[in-house]
Amino acid sequence: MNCESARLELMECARRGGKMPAGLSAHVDSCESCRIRWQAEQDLSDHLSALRIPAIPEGHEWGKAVLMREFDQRRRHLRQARWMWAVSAAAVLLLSVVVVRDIGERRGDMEPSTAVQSFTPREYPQETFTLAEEAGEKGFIKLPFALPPVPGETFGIVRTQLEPAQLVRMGVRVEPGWNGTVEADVLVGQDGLAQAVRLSNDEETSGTASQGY
Amino acid sequence: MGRQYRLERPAERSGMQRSDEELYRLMKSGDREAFGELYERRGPALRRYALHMSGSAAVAEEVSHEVFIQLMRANTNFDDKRGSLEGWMYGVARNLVRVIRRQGPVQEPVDQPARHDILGELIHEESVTALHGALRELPVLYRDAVVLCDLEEMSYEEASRAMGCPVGTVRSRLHRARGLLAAKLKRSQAVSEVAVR
Repeated sequence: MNCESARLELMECARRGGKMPAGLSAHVDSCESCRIRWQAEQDLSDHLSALRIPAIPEGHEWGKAVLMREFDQRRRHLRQARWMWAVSAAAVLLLSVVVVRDIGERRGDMEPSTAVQSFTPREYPQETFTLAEEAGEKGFIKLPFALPPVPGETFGIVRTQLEPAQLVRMGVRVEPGWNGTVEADVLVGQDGLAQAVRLSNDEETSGTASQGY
Repeated sequence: MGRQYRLERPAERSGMQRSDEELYRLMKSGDREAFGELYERRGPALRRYALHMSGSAAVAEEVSHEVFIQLMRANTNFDDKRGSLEGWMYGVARNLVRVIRRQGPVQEPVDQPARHDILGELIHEESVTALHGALRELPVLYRDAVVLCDLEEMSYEEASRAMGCPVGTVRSRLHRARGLLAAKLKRSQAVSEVAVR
């Protein structure tokens, strides 16, 4: 056994605190420097054992409490962040759906309709306004939308110019393409609403209007 | 000589226990108890290690705390394919001690001397003081070997995991470190004997 390998074994023996094997012991007995080294190793092991610290240092529980609190806090923040992301993602998704749908609807509105819309004006029964007839005012046509006159109600006649749109609203059928005006007498009740209309025979119009009822 | 302590090794506590890496994974998925268990298992040893490496109770406390804080972070650079969690934790602690020591001497809190001055209680004997001084003067890698193998009483295998190097390297570093310490201890003892005469 040489000194180099003996010293490695001396270190292990000193660390373990056990007895030396016979071969190593014989070498140490015969080698002065290894004997000194053995002594030094033993001294060192004794001194190092004095430097050891209690297994659980002071403040361990306090340190744990601080870290556990920190852990909880981080978990909470993480959960909040995840929740916020989820809500944001849902909001963005919802917004996208709304926007896409809106754009789709607008495109649908802008596209010219290919379907031909057939419209047949409703035919209302032609009915003369009997109260006017009885009073000697001939040719008045009762408006279909007007409320029935109240007994004893008085009427006034207003002469006015009517446009085709106004006539249509009253229920008078107008030839398409006519864009003039027609002079008409409007029978107005006490509530200020028209009850009947009579188209004038004066030809100021560029087209014709026919009484629809 | 000063007090002697028998360190309780985590492996000695129970035969069937979850690995550090398993606890780490559970902890990352939000398991509070796993984090607590990991702290119970590694916290005290890390604190002792930092205390030996720095010589300051305040630094030890800060370092052991910071290791676990780093472990909690979402962007922790620990990768179990590259090494053990224990090795990673000791590596972080080693680097933190190095950084703090580089910043200069540490101010120990004066309002709690009894609570934090664990080493102060131990190094009352002159030779122990000298040894402690010698330990602090050792290069970091040698100091690492002495602290883990002799003070923390780790096996060579455990120390190699913590140091991130082969067992043979641990053994040779320890041999070299003990040689340096023995020489310094002998010198200081010789000085003491001269002073006494």
